[in-house]
Amino acid sequence: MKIVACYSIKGGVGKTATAINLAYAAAQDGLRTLICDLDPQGASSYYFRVRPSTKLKADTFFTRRDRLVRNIKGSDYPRLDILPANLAYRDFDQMLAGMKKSRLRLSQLLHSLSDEYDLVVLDCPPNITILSENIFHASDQVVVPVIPTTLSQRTFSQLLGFYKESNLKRKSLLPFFSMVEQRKRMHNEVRQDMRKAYKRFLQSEVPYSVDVENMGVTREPLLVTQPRSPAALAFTQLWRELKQRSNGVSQGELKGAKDGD
Amino acid sequence: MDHHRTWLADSVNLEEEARGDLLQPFCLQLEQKAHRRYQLLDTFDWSIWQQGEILLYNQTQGEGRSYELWQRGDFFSGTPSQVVPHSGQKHRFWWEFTSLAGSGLQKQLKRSCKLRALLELHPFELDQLRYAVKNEDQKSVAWLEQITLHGKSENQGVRRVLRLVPVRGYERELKKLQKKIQQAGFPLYDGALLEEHLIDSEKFPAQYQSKPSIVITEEDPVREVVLRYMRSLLSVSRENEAGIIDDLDIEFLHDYRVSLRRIRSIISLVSKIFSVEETRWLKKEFAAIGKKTNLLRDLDVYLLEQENYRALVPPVLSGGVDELFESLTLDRKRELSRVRRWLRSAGYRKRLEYMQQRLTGTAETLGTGVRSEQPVLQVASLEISKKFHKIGKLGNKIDSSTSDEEVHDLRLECKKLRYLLEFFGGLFAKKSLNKAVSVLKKLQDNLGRFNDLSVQQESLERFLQDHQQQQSTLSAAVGGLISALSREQREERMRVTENFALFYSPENRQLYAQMVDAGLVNKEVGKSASKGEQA
Repeated sequence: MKIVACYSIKGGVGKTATAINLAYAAAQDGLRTLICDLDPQGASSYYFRVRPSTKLKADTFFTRRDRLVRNIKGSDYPRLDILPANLAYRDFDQMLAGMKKSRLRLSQLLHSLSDEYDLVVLDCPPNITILSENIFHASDQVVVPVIPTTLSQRTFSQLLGFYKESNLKRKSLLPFFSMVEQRKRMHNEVRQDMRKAYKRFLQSEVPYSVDVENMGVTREPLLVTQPRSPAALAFTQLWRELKQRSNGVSQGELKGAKDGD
Repeated sequence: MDHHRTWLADSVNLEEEARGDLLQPFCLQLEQKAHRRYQLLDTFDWSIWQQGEILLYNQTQGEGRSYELWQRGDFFSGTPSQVVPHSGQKHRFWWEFTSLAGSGLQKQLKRSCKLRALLELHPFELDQLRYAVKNEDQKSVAWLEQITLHGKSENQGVRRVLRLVPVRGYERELKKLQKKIQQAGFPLYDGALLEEHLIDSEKFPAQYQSKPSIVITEEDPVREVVLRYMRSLLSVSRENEAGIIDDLDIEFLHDYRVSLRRIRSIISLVSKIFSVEETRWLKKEFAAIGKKTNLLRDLDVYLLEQENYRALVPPVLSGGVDELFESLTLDRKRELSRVRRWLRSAGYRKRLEYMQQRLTGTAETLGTGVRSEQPVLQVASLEISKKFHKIGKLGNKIDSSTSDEEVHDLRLECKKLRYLLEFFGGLFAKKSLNKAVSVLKKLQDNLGRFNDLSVQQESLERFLQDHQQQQSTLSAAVGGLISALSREQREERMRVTENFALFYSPENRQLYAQMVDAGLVNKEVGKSASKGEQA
């Protein structure tokens, strides 16, 4: 089982759209996929028309696997399930802080689902907390949507800084450009700069699109409603690239610390 | 199939009916409409079906043709256990599935089909409508499927069911939906859709049985029981005629002949139940019919041995073996068309129809013998006991100096005992019967191989004589084969004594004595031979 997180410190960067379309593409690809909506705002759940669960409490989330499993719902698409958001997630940090091995809890929990799923996609809340550290520890790949603006450049450096300080594997951090507007000069300049500075940037770029914004109205993945649109094609491309990288990761690990930056 | 979530819907079509309020407040949204065309493939005796599987050829336009192997219980509600794409000419025998060898399908078919050909038994079509059942958020909480099976035409053998497919996490909604469908008056369904469709279409899975089983009770008059057998056996023979004429596979001829041979055996094994003249007439008639196909069956058997023969001779002579088989193939072709002409002839048809009439006629038609009215258990017990001890006597005489002729006689007597056990087995306790058959079978297999090997040698010798002017490689190959076969035959011969000892062991004698005890009027018959044994 692989775990892919969609994460950004900054909100409004296309994180949930990415999570949903990646999960959908993976399920179409034949993987039994679970998307976990960890954001108390519940955008992913909303897109999949699943009501937030009310029964699950923050403390049972990490301690009672059976309760968690009971909250999983089937989406409208084959092989794709969703664990809906829960307002109780707001208390995650407080709760985690009181637990032993608090940084590894999420990893343990998700791996207990490995006989049911081939892939777990995490839609994460936009901040750095103990929960995010759990996410970083648990995930094989952390996909970071970056809008090519100077402000995003700054927040991405913050994230890199946090990884360095916390001794996390920076290799799993995979940024890509999101909501790209070719017409904007700043977008082009920032993309060039950042690609130079950070070699692991994914090749796929998702263009800015009204269709993505409309997902809030259609409440379906873009890959379902507009599969031939440029943004949908970009999400498909992004999924393929992640799959390739995922296969390549082990090779990278074999090469060892030689290119450790 | 989950039978709490499947309902019979023969008279309703969701596509046509107003289905708006069927599941209110949930609503239905059509998600998928599929139409599939299948051909059911199986052998004449439905051997794949009997294994609990279904082989389909999916010929749906636009899907790419493929073979699908299903577990019978999974059909349409689950997924096939194997799907192997295949276009082009359809395969008939398991060994033709070479291109699909890696798929494992070949291996599975080998196990079920053996020598039998796959026949197109029934074309049918499957229409599937898949609706999403939506809640007030337009979220799918379940799927409702309507599945319709029908034959080539849309109203042939129509079977329709509704089926609810759950969505994870919506168990409460599922329960509500189940209740609503129930309330709408659909009866729960836990049948086998395909099987019912087949029966509606007058295709009866696994109806053909090469060994007919008829129910008999101890007190039935023996003559009536025998007539019932003969009728069933004769109709088995006749069911195979078409397959022989079309040359579908060699098992048609085999079953045809075996049934006729069973008829001949029962006539001679259970004597004095028809009048003397009629018995003679029956024997003569059935012998004449059986003889007509001897040569064709022999040729079938040789051709089957092709690979074995090849392995028996050194590679230098393999060219000769090729020639031999080319020649045999030609002979078979000639012989087959002769048999075909015969089976199609008005003379043959009339003769067989007349026989059938005679067997179905009233008691008087075949006359009566002194035993006609005796209870079947009595006659069966006597005959089985007599035959068992006769084999005992013959077998006891066999040692290394006995002629092959006497070994052949032993084989024939064993075969007769086997038939008796088959015909009348239903009268005895299953456990004893199975034990008796299994010991006998071991001896018979041994004797059978011994016989096959000598028949093969004889016919190869004949072949040599008939083809004296042929090239020397052919003669050398045939000569080599004969000596190899003779070696094998000697080895089989050595095993006979050992297998016979098991057959006529005190334990087995006891088994037979107990089996026939209740039916023997004169208990001395059962004992006499065992006394003879002790002497």
